[in-house]
Amino acid sequence: MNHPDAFLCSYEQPRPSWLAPNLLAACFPLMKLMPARFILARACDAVLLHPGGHLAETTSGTFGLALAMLAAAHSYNLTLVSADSLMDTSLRRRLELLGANLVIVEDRLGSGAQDERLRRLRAIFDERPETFWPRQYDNPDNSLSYGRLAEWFVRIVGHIDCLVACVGSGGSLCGTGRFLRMLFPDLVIIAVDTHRSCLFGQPVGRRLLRGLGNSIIPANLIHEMVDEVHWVGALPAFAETRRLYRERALFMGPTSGAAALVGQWYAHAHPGAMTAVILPDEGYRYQETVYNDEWLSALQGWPLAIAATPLCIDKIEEGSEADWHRMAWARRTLTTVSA
Amino acid sequence: MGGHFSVGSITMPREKSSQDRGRPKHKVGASAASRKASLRVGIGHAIAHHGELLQGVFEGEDGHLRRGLVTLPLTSRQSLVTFWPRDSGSIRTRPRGRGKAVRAAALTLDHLGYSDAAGDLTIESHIPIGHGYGSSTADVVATIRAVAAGVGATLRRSTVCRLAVAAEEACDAVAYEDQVVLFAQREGYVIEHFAGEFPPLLIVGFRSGDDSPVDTLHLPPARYNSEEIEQFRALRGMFCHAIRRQDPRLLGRIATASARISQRHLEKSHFDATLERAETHGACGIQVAHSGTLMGVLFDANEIKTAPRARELAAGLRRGGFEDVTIFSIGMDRAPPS
Repeated sequence: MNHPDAFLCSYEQPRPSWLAPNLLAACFPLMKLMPARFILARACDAVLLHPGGHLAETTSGTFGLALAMLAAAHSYNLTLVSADSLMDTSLRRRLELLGANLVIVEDRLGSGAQDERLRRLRAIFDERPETFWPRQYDNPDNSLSYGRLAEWFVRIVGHIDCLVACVGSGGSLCGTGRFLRMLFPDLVIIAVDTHRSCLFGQPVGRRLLRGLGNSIIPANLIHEMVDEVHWVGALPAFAETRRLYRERALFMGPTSGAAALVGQWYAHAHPGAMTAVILPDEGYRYQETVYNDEWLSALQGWPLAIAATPLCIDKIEEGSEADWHRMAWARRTLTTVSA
Repeated sequence: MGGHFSVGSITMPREKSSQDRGRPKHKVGASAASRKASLRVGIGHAIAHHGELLQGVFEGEDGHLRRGLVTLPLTSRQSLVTFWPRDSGSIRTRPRGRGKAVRAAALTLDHLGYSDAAGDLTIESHIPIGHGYGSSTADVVATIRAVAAGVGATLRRSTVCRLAVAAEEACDAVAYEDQVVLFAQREGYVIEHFAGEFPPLLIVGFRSGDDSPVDTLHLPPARYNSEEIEQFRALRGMFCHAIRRQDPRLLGRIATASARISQRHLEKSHFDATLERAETHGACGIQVAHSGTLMGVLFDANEIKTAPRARELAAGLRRGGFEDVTIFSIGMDRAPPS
């Protein structure tokens, strides 16, 4: 292991936090470093990426930050394609200081502009065919990289009955889930999504909660692994994020709030089951938003009392940013459930 | 980093290989020819094993992948070696022609500062060959211990293992006896020390006559795919937890998962039927010899009625025509013989 990699290898490790006696949270400074480091290492092994080589990716933030850190440490050239709705000035500055080239597309709908981002990316590949594309949504190495997280969980708790995680690419939920299911075939897998994300069948629309959900279906999401889906609106996610900080000093991002909300509900409802939950990033990016009372109070519906339980639905239906919905998925395909 | 792909591309350790493999650098003892007179008859034992609880590839502290295993010790079968020193000549064995034992004895004498000494080795082993009991390693380890005893020296387990690997290219972790270690069998060092002894397990061991004996030396090493390599991480983490918590049930799950992976590389006949038998008898899992024909059904020895269930399963296996059916235990107290 070379020196930059030793540091990043350690940086990708989560910290443990027991949110309840039967609920262990993996609190990541930057979870996406785990798949990013693994994908680039495999690309180097397969001679798809060389020292000083070029890589490009479309990203809403944290995967790009992870790539930029790796690119800086290994002297790769990196181009990131993102949307103006997704990238704030401080992250933009951070990426540029790491040496990344940014291509920012306009996103009037606020849905992430995924199609336009992919078009731009293809143009880059046409221009520089030697470019390596990590393809976090579809690259099976994304999912494979989470063997390390499965190891981290079982080393601490041993037997695990339930895994709760947000879904964006599907890598962390389905990756960690597949390695845990090898040992615990009955493992309950709970996906946390948000309203107006198409991952579990909702129509795409403007989303206030970023970092989970998607406007395309990534190949790394295996619907047939999922037992239960929760759609958490932005407001309950923000409220839980603030509670994690106020009550536990856990300074995490809003997707962590959404995952923790669902994890705590499940662990409380199943006191005999050991639940593991993944909290993917820290709060620094959200200091002017989720951690800013002025910004929050401008939101319609804020302040919001956190519901103790989700609303159970039996058909996919769109909710508001204040809603938290739960549906039994029962390891079915998207087509089966949508039909 | 690197070595993420097939195991064929495993990078062998640089610093370890040059320092630790072969003859250890720092030899024990001074250099006086008169010390030859101090050589005496030495006796060494080594136990067999019943295959592995876990085998695969694991990341070392340097980030490189290493082949590694956790041995399931079988104390009832042993190799006993007696070293009869002589002032000159060569090292001879009885039975004749045990080249690995000769190499092990020479390496040990050299390591201890007696490179001019020689002697005869009598090898008495009750360990069958070719099924995964580790007969060859047991002979080598017993030889190293016998020679050390003949010199009046005591060797660390890690030293014994390094000498053993130098003598026969790969060795199991039997020198560690009941200490639980993740052992790099081709380099002869410990990848991870697990904190604790084995939890109490009762094992019904057997093999099928349908599986031919395995020549370990000529068995090509398993080429694990990337999925399997990442699976081993979770198995290793869980092993650590199972030993810390002394949990036979978790250990059984790990052994079963590891055995399933082994099925893809050295297939055992009757594998699925064995899994079924294990389940119907309330066992906690199965294990195999990853370079042999042995299989074992693992029971939690703390549970009630474990012994009758194990005996019933053993009787069923005997009726089914399986060979070498035996019941043994690890991690248990044993009363003194009455």
